[in-house]
Amino acid sequence: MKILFSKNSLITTLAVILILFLWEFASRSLGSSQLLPGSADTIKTFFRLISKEEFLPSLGSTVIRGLTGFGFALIISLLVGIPSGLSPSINAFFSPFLIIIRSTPVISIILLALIWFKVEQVPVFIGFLTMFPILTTNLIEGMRSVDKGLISMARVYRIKKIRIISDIYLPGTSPFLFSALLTASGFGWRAIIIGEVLSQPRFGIGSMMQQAQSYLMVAELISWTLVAVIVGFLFEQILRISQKRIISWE
Amino acid sequence: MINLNKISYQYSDQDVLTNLSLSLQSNRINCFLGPSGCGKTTILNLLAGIIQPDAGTITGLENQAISYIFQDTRILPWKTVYQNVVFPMTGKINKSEIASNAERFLKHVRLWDKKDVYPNHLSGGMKQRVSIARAFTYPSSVILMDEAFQSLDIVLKKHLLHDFAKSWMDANRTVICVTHDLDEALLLGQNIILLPSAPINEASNIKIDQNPGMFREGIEEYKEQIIALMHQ
Repeated sequence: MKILFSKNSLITTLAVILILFLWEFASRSLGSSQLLPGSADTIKTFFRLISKEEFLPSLGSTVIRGLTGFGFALIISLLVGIPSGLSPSINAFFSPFLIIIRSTPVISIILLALIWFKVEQVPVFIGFLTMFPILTTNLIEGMRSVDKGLISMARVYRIKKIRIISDIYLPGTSPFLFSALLTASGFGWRAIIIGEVLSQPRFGIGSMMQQAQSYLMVAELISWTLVAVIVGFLFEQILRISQKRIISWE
Repeated sequence: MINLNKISYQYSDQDVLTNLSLSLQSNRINCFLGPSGCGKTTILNLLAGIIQPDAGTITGLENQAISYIFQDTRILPWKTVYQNVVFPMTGKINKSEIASNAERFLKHVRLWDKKDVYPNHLSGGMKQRVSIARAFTYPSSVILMDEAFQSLDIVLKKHLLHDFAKSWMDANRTVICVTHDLDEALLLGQNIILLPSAPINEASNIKIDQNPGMFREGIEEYKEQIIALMHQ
């Protein structure tokens, strides 16, 4: 296992070197640091950027928006998904809502949200609407996949419904829920940044990207993108660690 | 005494039980013996209340707590051995009683040293022993057991039958088990009920007034009697 791990790490490192090489190659071929700056220039810009006054408020605002959207999506998907997983009638009631949310183009939601909400709230709302159907659909699927034998065992032993949910359905669903959280967070961070680009709150990674783009500061735009990638990556790692801790029986 | 009175049950338009009446003895091991697919598990599921009869009544089980040892163990993968054993009782009786019962029966099934292990680190036989410990730890008056030793090899089966017999002698509850294995019925059963192929409408029985275990007397004669009854 250890050998496999180090072999895979080596392959990953080689892939990163290849990306940097391609980037450098493309930048030199274009011959314009305005259009595509080299990796060295971008890294310098990145470090200058993180020492700027607006860096922390921008990063913090996006993280707070992300966590708020994520929190809302998780809570409401539990409130909708658990009853829907238990009862086909409740599922039939909620399914048109989920279908509408899932199939509406994100841009329509953004345009409507820009009319309905304050600029600060738009990215949170978009993040929520992106993550909510993914979480709920997987939660319902997970609830349905729980071994019915365990439920009939619990009934014979006269276990209360609330404990059947907390001790059988939820742990049985948690592998589904975690894989949904990982997928949803990937889409969620991107949706929140798109929301920030379009709604332009005072601080936010997306707002900073929009400003950099307006002034054609490509190095800065790529640096903010790098910040967004790091935020998404760290959040994913936190989710993976929680997954290992919570699903410790596997 | 538990009585099945004129029970009928159909499954997918097939008669499984038709007008079946029989009595089961309290505080004894009642063992249904019959071929695979004859409807033995149906009888257990009716007794457990998992399914309801199409006609007829079951008396003697009203408001009784029931334990069930399933063929496929049905233990929770996300709970440790100990947590699985105490799971049905949490919040029902006081903690010290739960702990002492769980320890007693986990020791009977030789799993006390594995109490903090998750089921995916256990063998099939060990999982079945968890299920046995759970059934006995739960303060039920009736224990139902469905072909619990079926998928195990002969040595493991004997060990498990021994663990089961030891646990039963400690708690002395009404046990209703089903099996298609004559030797298993002869080792455990005190009231062996012979079931024909479905649809079942009557059943004969043989009583063995001895404790369960390996050292019962006159087993060969009982065996011959049962074989003779089966061929009638």
